[in-house]
Order: sequence, then C-alpha cells, then structure tokens
Amino acid sequence: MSTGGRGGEVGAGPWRAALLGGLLYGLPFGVWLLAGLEPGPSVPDLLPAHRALLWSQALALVLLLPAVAFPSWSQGTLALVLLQALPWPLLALLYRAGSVPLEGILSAQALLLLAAPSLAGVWHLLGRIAVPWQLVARAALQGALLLGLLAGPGPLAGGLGL
Amino acid sequence: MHWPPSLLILLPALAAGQGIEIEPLWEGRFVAGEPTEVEVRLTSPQGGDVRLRLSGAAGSVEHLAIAEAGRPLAVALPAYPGPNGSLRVAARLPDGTELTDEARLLTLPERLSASVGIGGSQSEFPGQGSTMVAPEALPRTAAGYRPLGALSLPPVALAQIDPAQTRALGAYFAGCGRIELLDATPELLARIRAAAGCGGRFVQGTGSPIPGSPYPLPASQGLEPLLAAGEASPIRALALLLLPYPLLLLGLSRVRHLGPWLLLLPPAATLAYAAALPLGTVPAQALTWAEAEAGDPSLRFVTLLRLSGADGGGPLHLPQEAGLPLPRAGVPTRLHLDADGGLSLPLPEGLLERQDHRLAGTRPLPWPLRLELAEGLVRIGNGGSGPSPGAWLLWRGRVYPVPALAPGMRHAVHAGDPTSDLPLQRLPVPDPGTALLLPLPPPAGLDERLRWTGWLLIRLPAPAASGGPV
Repeated sequence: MSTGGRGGEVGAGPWRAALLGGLLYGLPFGVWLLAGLEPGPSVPDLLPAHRALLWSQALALVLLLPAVAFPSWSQGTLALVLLQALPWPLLALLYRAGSVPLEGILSAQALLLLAAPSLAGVWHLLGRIAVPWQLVARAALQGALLLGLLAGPGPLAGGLGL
Repeated sequence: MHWPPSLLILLPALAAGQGIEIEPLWEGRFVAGEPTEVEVRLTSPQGGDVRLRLSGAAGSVEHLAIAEAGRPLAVALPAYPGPNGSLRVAARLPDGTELTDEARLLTLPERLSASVGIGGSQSEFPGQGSTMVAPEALPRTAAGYRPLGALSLPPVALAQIDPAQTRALGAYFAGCGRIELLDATPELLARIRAAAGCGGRFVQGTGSPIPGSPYPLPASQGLEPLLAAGEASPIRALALLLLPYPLLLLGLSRVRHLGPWLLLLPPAATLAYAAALPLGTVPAQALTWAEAEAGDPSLRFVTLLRLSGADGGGPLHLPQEAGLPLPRAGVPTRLHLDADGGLSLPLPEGLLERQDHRLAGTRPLPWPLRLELAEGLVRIGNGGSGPSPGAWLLWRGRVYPVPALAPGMRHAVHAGDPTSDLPLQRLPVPDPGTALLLPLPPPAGLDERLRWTGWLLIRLPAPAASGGPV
C-alpha cells in the first residue's frame, strides 16, 4: 500500500469511497428507523426497514464487485467489507427497539460478511479466464446476482432466514 | 333483586389442588374493572419459601410467602379477575410440589354494600349488591375495599380486627369510603370523622344518610397531558445520540491516510451504541394528582405511571405508599407483591415500548394546612411542625401565589392581591372552587429510576358540602 503524496491518495481511495458510500445508504435508513420509533404500547414493526437495509447492503456488494481489484485485491475486498459494516450501529438501535431478534441480525450480517470476500474471490478467479470470456462470465455473475436482488428484499430476507 | 346462590359459583379445590384454596372476599362478588382481594390458604409439609401466582384475565400477582412446616398459611393478595370473574392460583412449595386452585367470582354491575356482623353471621344473599361478613373477613389489603360502595359496622368490630385489617380499613377511611358506624357514641363518631378523609362527612352514625361520593379524582386521560408536558422527546434524544457517528464518518472521509484500521470503527461504534442507547430516555415517569379537604389528616391520590423499555434493567420497585395498580383496559397487569407490601412492576423490553399504569391510594398529608374563607380574604395557616412549600391559591377564578409557610405561620390573601400564572398547563379536574395547589413530594423509598411529579389540591369544602359532584 502506498503512503504519502499521490500514492497515499490512491491507497486511501477505496476506504474513502466506502466511508462516503456507507453514509449515502446508511443515513436514509437511520432516518427511517428513527421515524418508526414512535413510543407506544407495543414494539414498533421495523422489520421492513431491516430487510431493506440488508437488500441495500447486498446491492452495494454486487454493484461494487468490479472495483474490488482497486488498488489491490486485499484492499478492495476489505473496503467492501467496511462498506457492509458501516451501518451496524443502526442494527444496535433495531435490536434495542426489540423489533428484530439478535439472532436474525447476527446471522444476516454474518452471511453478508462471508459473501463479500467469497464473491470477490470468485470475481478474481473469473479474471483468469481469457479476455472475451472473462467479460461474459463476470457480466453473467453480476447479472444473475442483480436479478436475484431485483426480485426484491422479500426473497433475500427469506434466503437469509428473516 | 335476589341472586340465587347457584349463580355464585365458587369452584371447590380441584383434584390437583387438594392442599390449596382460594377464599374470596365479599362472598365472591366483585365489581368489573376493579381489583379485589382473595385469601390463599395452603399447608406445606416442609418449611421455606412458597412461590404464589394468582392470575386473572385482568392481571396477575406474584408473591413469595414463607411457610412453616405443617402449619396453615393464609396470604391475602390483590386479585385482578376479568369480566368472567375467574381466578387461578398456583403455588410452588419448598419441596417442589405444585398446587393449583381455581375460583370464579360473581361480577356486579355496581359497588357492593357490606355489613359487618358479630358472631359469625352471614348474609343469605339479601340482594345482589349487599352482603354481611364477620369482622375477621374484612380485607387486609386496599384492593379488598375497591368493590365496596358502603360499609356498615359496629364500633366493637374495630377491636376484633388484626393490624393488617386495621391498616386497610384506615386507608378506606382516608380514601373517603362511605361508612355507617352503628350505635357509635357521638365522641367516637367525631374521633373517627377527624381521622377520615373528605372532612369525615362520609362517616355517619346509625340511620343518617351518607353522601353519594367524594370529588372524583381525574382519569388517566386527564393526567396524560400533564405527564406529557414534562416529557422530553425520546426520538430527539436518540437522534442526538446517533448523530456523532455519521459526523465522524464524514470527518474521516477527509483524512489523508486511511487504511484497514477503519474496519475497527463499525464494531466499536455498534458496541458503544448498544451500551449507550438507553441514554437520554427515561425508564419510568409518574404523575400524581392528590386531593384533600382543608383539615384532613390524609390525602387520596391517583398516579399515572409510564414505564418504558429504555432501561433494560430489572423491575421497578414501588413502596406501598405509591398505591395500588388498577386494572388496565385490554392489557393485563403484571406485578410482584414484595414482603414489605411494596410492588415490583416489570419494565417493557423494547426501547421506547411504553406501558401506562394507573395507581390509586391514600397517604398522610405532609402539611396540615388550614384554609379559611373570610370576608374578602382567604387565610392560610401552617399547623404542622415542618415548613410548607410555596403554593398557589385558586379563588374566584384567579390564581394567587402563596409563600412557603414556617410552622405556625399564617398568610392572608385578599381579592386585590397580585395574581400569578397556574404552574400547570391546565387543571385535570373541573371547577376546584377555593383550593390550594401545592407540589407534592414523592413517597419515601421510591425507585431512583422513576422521575416523579406530584400535585396536591387542598379544597375548601363548600359551606353545605354534601359530597360535591358525583
């Protein structure tokens, strides 16, 4: 990893992108959760917000797969993991609100954390295929994942056991 | 109207509960929407702790009693039967044995009139709303008097009741309960009236008419705005608590040297928030509205208690003086009756989940303030041994400030004196007449997590007071 000067800027690039990306999709969910936390005699139903957050995390993962090699595979993958992990404090709020069981939160995040390096690894392996087929294979993988996600947060949440 | 005895269903002990039985008060009658009292009787072959759980559709009460080996144990417990009147008690004996019993009480549409008979006399169901009991069958908890509209008893019965019954009866007196003292001497009548609430006008001698009811205390809806007025927005507090995290992320995005150490940030922040999230929210709030009449030795009160899941800690402990929880519409009450007569109420689990309870009871008046209406002025005197706090006099539709009064001090308010604003947004009771409004201190031994506010209204009774509005 480069340090200082232009090299430092390049090395910090994926981390900075992860920070800003996390803010971009985390803030709306923070507002959603706070808006749904009206004090009342029963536990607020924030399960839809949790499902949508999982969906957004998964979508960010799929969309940013082409960037995992920048500036190196290890840094790119770790930055992708950081992007997944940045909204975690909101999950603490969800848990304390009693809307989602702790097991559901932990299992979903664990699956997403496993998915990030696994998909990055697959993406890396696909890079070893000869050039015309490499593009096809990567596009097919990304397309299939996107199609799965576009089916909606419901199937995703179901797949994650929520 | 006479109810046939067959309608009063008191189920005998079930086969599974040979060693335990529920003995209801007032021949098994209670008023819908009110608690009552039952006595649970059992005998344990082994000494030690007996865990009791008395459940009804409107609530459940848990209690830890101590049994002596082979000796009968009788425990008086508040009971919360639902509209069908069924109650179930379960006991876990020191040797692990489980005993159960069930009873079904008879629901009355209105409060009961009870007579205390000497010599073990029992009524023969003279009417749906009246009953006769022996002195030893009088209640031992304040809950036992909730189904009662009037009580008739001879003074000799007062000498035949135990200390717990005396305390419960004293609370009934203090709470302006309607009492007919049969064949009482004028001196005794005067003494008991002086000890009772509402100027003692609900204590009458034989044959004298008893006024209808005391001034009603406000309902939960009346107290709700007062409680909400002092309530900070928990959402705002949470938003302020969460705000530093995105600001930190924004600040870090401008840092030149970033690296994998950033991965420590989300778990650290999550753990910090999980620990800190109750901050800024209040686990329990209470607003008490109390009333007394000038000269009363005690006050009667109603409290709106709001519990939230912000704390995440153990149950909330309330001293006996905090009052008795009344049944809540649609939500069963769950409480633990402590050995000292205090209560423990479980806090909700979810952050911002809210439970409202309504408690009622009586307490000694902290300051025996005298209030006298004279020509064009009101005199207020402190006849106690401690200073009274600053107060507000409500008189002829205006509010006058009254300074703190040292013991023995007097203060006169004239019609032309400067007025002030009411310390409350509005009063939860209509037309208080001439009255003094004071901040009421909390009862001793209150759980420190409870944020408590109390107001006391000392009314000047109307010259020909006959009970006020019903």
